[in-house]
Amino acid sequence: MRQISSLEYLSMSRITRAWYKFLSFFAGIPRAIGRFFRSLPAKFASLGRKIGDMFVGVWDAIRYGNWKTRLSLLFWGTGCFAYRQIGRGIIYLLYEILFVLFMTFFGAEYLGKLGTLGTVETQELPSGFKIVGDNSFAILLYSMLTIVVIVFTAVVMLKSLRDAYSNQLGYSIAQRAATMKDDVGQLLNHKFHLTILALPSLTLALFTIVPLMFMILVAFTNFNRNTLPPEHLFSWVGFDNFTAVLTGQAKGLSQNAAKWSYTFWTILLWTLEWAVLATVSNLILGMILALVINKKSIKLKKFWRTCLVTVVAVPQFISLLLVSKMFLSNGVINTILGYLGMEPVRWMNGSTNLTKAMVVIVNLWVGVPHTVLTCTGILMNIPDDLYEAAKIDGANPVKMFTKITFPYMMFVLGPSLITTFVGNINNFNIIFLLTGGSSGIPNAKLASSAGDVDLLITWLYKLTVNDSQYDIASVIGILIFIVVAFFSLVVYSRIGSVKNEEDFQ
Amino acid sequence: MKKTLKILCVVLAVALMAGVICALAACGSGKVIMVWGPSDHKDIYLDALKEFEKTHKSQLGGYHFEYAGSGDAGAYSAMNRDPTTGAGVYTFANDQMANLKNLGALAPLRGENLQWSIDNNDPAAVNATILGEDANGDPTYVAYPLQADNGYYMYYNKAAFRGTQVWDKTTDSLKSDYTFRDLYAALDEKGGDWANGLVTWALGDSWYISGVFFAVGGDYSITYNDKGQQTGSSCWFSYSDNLDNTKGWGAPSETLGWDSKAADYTVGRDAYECLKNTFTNVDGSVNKHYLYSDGDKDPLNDYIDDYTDPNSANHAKSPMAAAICGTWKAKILQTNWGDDYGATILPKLETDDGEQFRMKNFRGYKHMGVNPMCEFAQISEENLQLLHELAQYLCSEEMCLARFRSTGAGPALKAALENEEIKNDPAITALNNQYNLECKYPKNYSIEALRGEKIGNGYGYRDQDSVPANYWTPIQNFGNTLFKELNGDTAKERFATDNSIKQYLAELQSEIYTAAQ
Repeated sequence: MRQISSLEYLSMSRITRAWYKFLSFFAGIPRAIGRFFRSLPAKFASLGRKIGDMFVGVWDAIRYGNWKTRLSLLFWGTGCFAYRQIGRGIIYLLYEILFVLFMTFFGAEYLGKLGTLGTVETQELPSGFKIVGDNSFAILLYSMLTIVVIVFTAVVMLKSLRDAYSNQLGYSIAQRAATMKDDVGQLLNHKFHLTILALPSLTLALFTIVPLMFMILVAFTNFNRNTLPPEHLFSWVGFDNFTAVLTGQAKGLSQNAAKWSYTFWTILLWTLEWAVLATVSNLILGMILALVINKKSIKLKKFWRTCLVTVVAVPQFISLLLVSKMFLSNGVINTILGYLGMEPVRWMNGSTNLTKAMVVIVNLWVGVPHTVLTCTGILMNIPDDLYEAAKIDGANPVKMFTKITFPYMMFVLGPSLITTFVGNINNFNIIFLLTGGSSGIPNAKLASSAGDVDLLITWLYKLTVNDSQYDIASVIGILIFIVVAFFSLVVYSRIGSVKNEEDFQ
Repeated sequence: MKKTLKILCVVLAVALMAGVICALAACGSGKVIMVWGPSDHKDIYLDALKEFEKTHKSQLGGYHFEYAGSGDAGAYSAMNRDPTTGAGVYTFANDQMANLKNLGALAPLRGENLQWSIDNNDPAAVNATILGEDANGDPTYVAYPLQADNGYYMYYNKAAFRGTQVWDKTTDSLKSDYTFRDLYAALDEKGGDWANGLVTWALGDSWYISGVFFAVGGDYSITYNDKGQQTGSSCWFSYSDNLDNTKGWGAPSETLGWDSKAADYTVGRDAYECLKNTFTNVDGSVNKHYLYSDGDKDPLNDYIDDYTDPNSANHAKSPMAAAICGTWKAKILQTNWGDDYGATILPKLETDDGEQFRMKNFRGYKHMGVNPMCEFAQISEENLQLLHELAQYLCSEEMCLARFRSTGAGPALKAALENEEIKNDPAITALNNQYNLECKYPKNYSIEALRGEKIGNGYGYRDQDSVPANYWTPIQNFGNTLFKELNGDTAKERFATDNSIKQYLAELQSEIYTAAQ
């Protein structure tokens, strides 16, 4: 889009200006993406430098170290023992022994099978007794654990070498190396962050990083209901699952590839439609309600706010289950319609579009109170003198809204809109509890168990819980992450509160 | 102060870690053999397990039993988490048999165990435990028959029909030859409270709709290897004038599996007309006495409870006069209807030309399986054998009787079936009458000649020995779309013309076929 001068901008009519702003927001998106990718090499380079720095010291230690230092590479702690750091030396040596034991009796076995994910199949004896073979699941999981352990060990090993080298250097100067007491003292004082973060980091690695690596790698295997371990083996399939889901081209394994891909794109489209509809409708209605409640002439302000807070106070899934019952074919709503002499309506089990509309409407009921509360907070923060000044200048209420209230609100709401949008992309509760992901209208083109109102996240749930299609589910999970990351990054870098931070006074 | 804070931090961190380790350690402790079954049979099983534990103490080697109510339908999803930590002995519905075998969670029955199963149980139920063939070409039996009652029949309120055209005065029960439209007409005839009486059957549930397809001569076939993996399947629910037409719809003639040239291709049309005529008037409008139900959003089970409950508002407005369901509703209907409680065989179905078929039952079973993957069975072959013994013990006559008394569950054990108490139960009688019905097809379907023993068995049921991988969804879609279309809820008119019916049936067929690959 062509850049225009301020003069040109000011000479535009109001509508053209709004249109220009609207367009320039979207026109800026490619540039923002470009900037992000251009910045990537620099980020990787700095990461590389940091890793490189770690090895520089190591290289020096090997080059200039004496025999004690060099021997530390093989028998960790040698460099410590030699300089009477007995405690530290024992810890290094003990760690080395533990690591060797770990690798011999556990890690090496699994890591060795990582390439094939197991070759020994489970056998059944004539009596029906099972001799369980390789477990692909365990192999993949424990290999990840082993890799994390190896990386950590490498860091410890290098640390032991550097310790030895610094002992060697330090000893020639001070004739004394740090004692155990010094070390403990340091860990409790200026290295206290290490002490306190050690356990959290360990748990993080064990319970977050290992499972995450595992789940990402599942996308590159054929781990599904036909290959469930320990009865069966699964194996690597490269990018086949991704091509199946994205393009519908199968390379041998997923025969239903065309279906996977059709389902994915259909559901992705509805997911985005839903996220936009739900976010925008909530914002608009919430804002209007907040303005109304905040109006000076409105009585019982606290009462109205309490009413709205009540909705927030009831756990969401309870309200949703209740509402879903209300709209059943023989539910409360239809019974009331019956008393009024009207035909019952199949609200959420008769037509795709009506069901989708109902979901958006019910979402208003659940989501609007949050928006109202946020907006109320912002409204109460807008200084009154702005309005007084505007009034003196002869501005009408509409003008005041468009020039003061709305910009002020958007500035604060911008980042929270992103979270709402992303939250809506992954809004499991509403869709699943209200509709179960389907309006009851069958769509034979969708892959098994996917329904016409499913979001990606509810489909993902069904894929894992009902269908045991872990391979495809993992691909969907990764794709959801990409979609969400894309929208968050792009929109975040384009909103006013980030671009013009200092504007907010 | 600062120092105290620091020490506190360290202590808290260590405590956290210790907590995590303790929690992890707690998972793996205890020598337990899990037994899974329906939660409403919990007490029955707990007593039996205590007894078994007492008599087999030495063989159990310190292991003890624990019971969890997974429900028969939930066995697969529970086992799917990890068969090695799953139950040692468990009950399941027969449609999960292949999947469970595929998990490795079903030990085959051999030698004495197999002989026990064959000698003591209803042959049809034993047949239903076969899954594939072993290397010698012999059938593999993978479970013990537990219940042979997983079928449906008609419950009815005698007060609603007494004295009408469908009533048989001599036996004070419903005539055996009746159609849905007869029931609707009888309700109009009866008038009074029953002018708004309802008849329900789960048109939106594939298990029930299948009965209509089988009634008119449709069928599927499926083959498994002994690992529980599907090796082939074919399905025949289609409707076409000649073979070439079917090709364009994704159902090539080879997939039909049997000699398709000889086949009569109006099965789908008959099924469609019969389905439609169960809830419509002659002019095509939906009859006011029909209450649509399915297994999910308009739940059959809830409707039956609600519309027969004397205290409910729905009952006051429109009481339920008849419903197709299974033994699990026997107790509640007996309570709600009292002396007017009745049960009988399924109604007759009618095409637009007036040709009649007897609605068939998609006969399901519940089995008891032994899991060779569980911790206890993995220790030795003797342990596995002990679990087989336990399974046989849990299938014994007194257990069958206890289950029958508690929930009306119909046994598969011959000795229990002979028991007077079970024999005289109206629900079990209706079910057995349905099973023993002679059902010959009015049309001379070649399929009957081709697969004489299996579907064309000439009786009122089709064995649910195994089902193609994605059988349930397309069939269910067919039923509830049909209702919604004819009820005028959707704009799409899939059933408007002869061609669109053909098209839809072909899609249905190819769905089942392709999903099975």
